[in-house]
Amino acid sequence: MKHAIEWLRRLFHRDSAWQEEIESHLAMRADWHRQQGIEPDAARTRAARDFGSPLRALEAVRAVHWAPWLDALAQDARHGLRVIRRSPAFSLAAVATLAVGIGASTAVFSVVDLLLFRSLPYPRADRLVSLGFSGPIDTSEFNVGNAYLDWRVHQHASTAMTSMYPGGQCDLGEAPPLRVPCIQVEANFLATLGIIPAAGRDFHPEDDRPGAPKVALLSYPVWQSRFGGDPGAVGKTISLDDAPVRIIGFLPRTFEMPQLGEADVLLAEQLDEGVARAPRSTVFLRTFARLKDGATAETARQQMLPLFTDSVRRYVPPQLQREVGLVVRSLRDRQIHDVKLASWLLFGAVLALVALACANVANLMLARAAARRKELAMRAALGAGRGRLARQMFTESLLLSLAGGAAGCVFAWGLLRAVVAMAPQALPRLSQARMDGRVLLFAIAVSLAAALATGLLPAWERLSAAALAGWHSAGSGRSWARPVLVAAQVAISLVLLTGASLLVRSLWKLESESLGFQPRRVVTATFTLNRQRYNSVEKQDAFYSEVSRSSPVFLESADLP
Amino acid sequence: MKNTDRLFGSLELLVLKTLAAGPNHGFGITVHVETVSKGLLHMEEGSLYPALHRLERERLISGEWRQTDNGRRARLYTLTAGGRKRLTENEASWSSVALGIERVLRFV
Repeated sequence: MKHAIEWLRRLFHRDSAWQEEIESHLAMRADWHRQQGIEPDAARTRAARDFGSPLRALEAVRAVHWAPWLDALAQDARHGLRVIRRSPAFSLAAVATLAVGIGASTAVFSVVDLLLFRSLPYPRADRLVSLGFSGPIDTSEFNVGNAYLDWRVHQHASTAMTSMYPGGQCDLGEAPPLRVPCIQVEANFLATLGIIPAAGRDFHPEDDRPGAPKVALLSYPVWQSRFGGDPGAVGKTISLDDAPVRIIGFLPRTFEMPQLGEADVLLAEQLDEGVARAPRSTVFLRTFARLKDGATAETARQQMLPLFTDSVRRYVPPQLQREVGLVVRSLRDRQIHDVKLASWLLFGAVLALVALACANVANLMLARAAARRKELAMRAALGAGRGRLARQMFTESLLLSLAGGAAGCVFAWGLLRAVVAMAPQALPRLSQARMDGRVLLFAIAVSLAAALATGLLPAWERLSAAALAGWHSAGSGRSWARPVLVAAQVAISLVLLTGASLLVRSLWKLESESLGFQPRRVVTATFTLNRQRYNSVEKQDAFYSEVSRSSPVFLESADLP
Repeated sequence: MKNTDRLFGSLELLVLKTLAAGPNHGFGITVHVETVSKGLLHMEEGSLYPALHRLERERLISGEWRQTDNGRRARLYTLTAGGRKRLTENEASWSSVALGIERVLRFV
């Protein structure tokens, strides 16, 4: 490793020296022109013109140095291909093993990359946190109206704090209306996230006052499907729940709600302080904040703690006070909260799978060493140095790994499509998973790592002096690599198998667990009723009894509130 | 080399010959060739450097970073023993090629 870094460093150093040489030539030529009585600027221009393209010259110099190396590489590759073709069964087994390992890890990476590593679509997203109460009511942190109103005024932990109502739906358009997710957000919501509307304007504080005329921002998909992406649609009026609402803008294509919910329409929150402050108020909110520079979620939590304690004392019923806590966590943690561990586990498991595949292939290559000892001994006798032979072997495993990587990418692509088709809701963002450049880079990196892992060990083993001298030593105690590899394989397999069997066991328990009722012949259905036509419980009940009377399928229907 | 690059190896020959007079850098070589040929030969500067690096890889010359008289850093090239030998050979073959071409051109 150290060698490789040193080698790379020298490589870059050499390249910059070649550049410097050309620059020094240009400087001297300019000096020379100046001595002939030409202005400094003109002298430099003329020097550049005399020289022609410095880039092309540099390319040519590079070619001089790289050409022999590339020739050797091509020679190694040709020989490697011959070796691979000579034992097709071995090569196929190696490529297939690596393809499974690389494919599985690439598919998983394409999913967990979105969850764990890729930056969220907000400027300086690392500054954004979700904060609020943790409690038995909700798995995610929430806020209550009167506490939020206090926090908003008195907090010093963040530069901006904002809120939204969790969930909400409305009927968009007329005859027939469409039920769409409709989220009410505070006026500073988009500004806090750092999002600027793609067309039109953001909410103004006036829009957010209770009783102000209703205005809306629409999502990019709605803008495209209903208005063909026309920016002139700003200012038009649409019908929301049979009331006219003016469109003030459209959201950018990449916009995402911070809690990953759906939102086709954003409305102003119009939080009524009187209602929120009323005794027994049930205003629940989601709150987000942008931290100050240098602050972390933990320091912000410490700063918020006095305010939180105060809110708990004032607004939380005494019997619940022990059950609530303050949560401040990064937006990423909020989004993947219950799948964070699962993502890391899954990622770790597939990396273990890759390691297993590599150990397998390395073992196969070692096993083949005996068959190739004669060939290597002959090549050594003909004058090939140890380094040359090691490179030759490394090229072989590189070819196998790259073939495995290419097959693995195809496998990963299929796997990803299958998983997304089977369980699109299994993980957040799963439907966004793609085989893009980043994922391909990962696949290439894994392939190269596999080449190193499978190539270096056998090269080391086979190039021992005894092997090169062509001695047919029957001694088995000489080799330490194979027992180590086998031990590693068994260890990794055991871990993976244990994990998998535990998973299957949990699934089995889940399947066989008694639900407390007879689930056979029971189906569930959801109806979306027009809010205006069915605006009372009586009218809704009438609809349901009409359905169960007229339909032969519904033997019994249960109305749950 | 505008006038002579149609003749194989002429650029290398001129470089080796120039360095036979003493260590020099790339720019110095172009100036030397232009001056000595009284302006008849004009080196294409961009292709000089690949040639220098090729000769260095063949160990006919060796390069080293030095300070020049007017304070600039430059890479100075020195002729090696192998380079001297190659120069002698190439001078001889060049002369015979030149003589041959001369004879063909003179033939009416």
